Amino acid sequence: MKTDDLINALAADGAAKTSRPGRVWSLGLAGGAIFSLVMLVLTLKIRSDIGAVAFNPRFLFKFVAAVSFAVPATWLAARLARPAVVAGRPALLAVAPVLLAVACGLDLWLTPEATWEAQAMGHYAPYCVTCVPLFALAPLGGILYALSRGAPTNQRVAGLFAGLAAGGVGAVVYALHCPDDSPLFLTIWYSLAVAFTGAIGAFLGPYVLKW
Amino acid sequence: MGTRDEDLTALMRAANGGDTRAYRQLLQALTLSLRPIVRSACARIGMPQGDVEDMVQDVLLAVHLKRHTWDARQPLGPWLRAIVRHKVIDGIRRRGRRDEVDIDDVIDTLPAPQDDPPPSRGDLDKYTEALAGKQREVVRAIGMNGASIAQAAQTLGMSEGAVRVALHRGLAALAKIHRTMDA
Repeated sequence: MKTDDLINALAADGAAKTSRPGRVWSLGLAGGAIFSLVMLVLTLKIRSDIGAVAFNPRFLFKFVAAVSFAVPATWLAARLARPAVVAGRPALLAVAPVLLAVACGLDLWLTPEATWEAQAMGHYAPYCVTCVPLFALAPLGGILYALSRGAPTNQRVAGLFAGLAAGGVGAVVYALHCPDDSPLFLTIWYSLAVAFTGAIGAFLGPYVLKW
Repeated sequence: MGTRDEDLTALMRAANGGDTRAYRQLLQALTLSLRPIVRSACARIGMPQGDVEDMVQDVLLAVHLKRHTWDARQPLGPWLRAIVRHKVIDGIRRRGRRDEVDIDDVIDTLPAPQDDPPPSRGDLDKYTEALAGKQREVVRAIGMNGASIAQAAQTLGMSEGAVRVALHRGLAALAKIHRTMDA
């Protein structure tokens, strides 16, 4: 086909509706998150003492920390879907670590030293490190789908942010089941799990985000 | 792209508003600017000039299929350059040239459109050949025979909606074929 012929075809298709990025993102993200949530309810189940801990600050803080990480990571990933858009403010990713540091400081100040090791190791650390990335898979798929509908020029970095965002969502979901509420546990094991999910995203990015 | 940035931006805004003629004008202007860039990038790394037109078409397809990622409040130039840079470097890599390609200087001084004729090639059809039946017929009827959507619908015995869908999917498939056939 000659280039002029291609232009004929492109111009004729010009009036076709293009996908609306906002809708694709909310579909991908919400779809992935809801799928993971349903999987959690069906498999591991929400922790049985949820009624008793619902207003416990240590329990609630897990969600604050995870959401404060997932939101900027998603925002950064979404910006990378557009060519020639400045990367945004990666420093926003530091909000969650700062919150974690403050919470750990408070915890170390308020609790006796003898409990620190038990708090940090928790009851189910290996579960946490495995399950957070597992519950992040569906959100990761949704976010990568939304990214692939865009035009990310740096696919490795876009994949990394997608992985980190999905890790944050996976952490929110798994936190509904996880009985370990200490900020020390959160800082060590959840962070490890989210970093792992980020690595999965960075690995997949160049393969699935080609355009 | 210098002062022409504003013209291109205006054309793209009009195109997004449904102005098909503005869109065609934009694609033509882009093609004329693009050819010398791709040609000089190819020459610099010793790629056959026969690949030039394939790469130009690859960029046009990318601009078309990814035009929704342009923020209409921004000028078109930086977006366009990012797409061109990405696709040209990608095209060179896919053709097995792993050397560092510094095409930034070429792109940043996008030359004035040159009316040099595209090289004539016998196998330019290799891409459309790989399309699935209906998509191939529609893309060829509208592309090569210059039919309108309505005319293509009548000749091929399809509804206009079906022609639109086949055209849109055919173009997306064409971009994918570009990605895989040159690998």
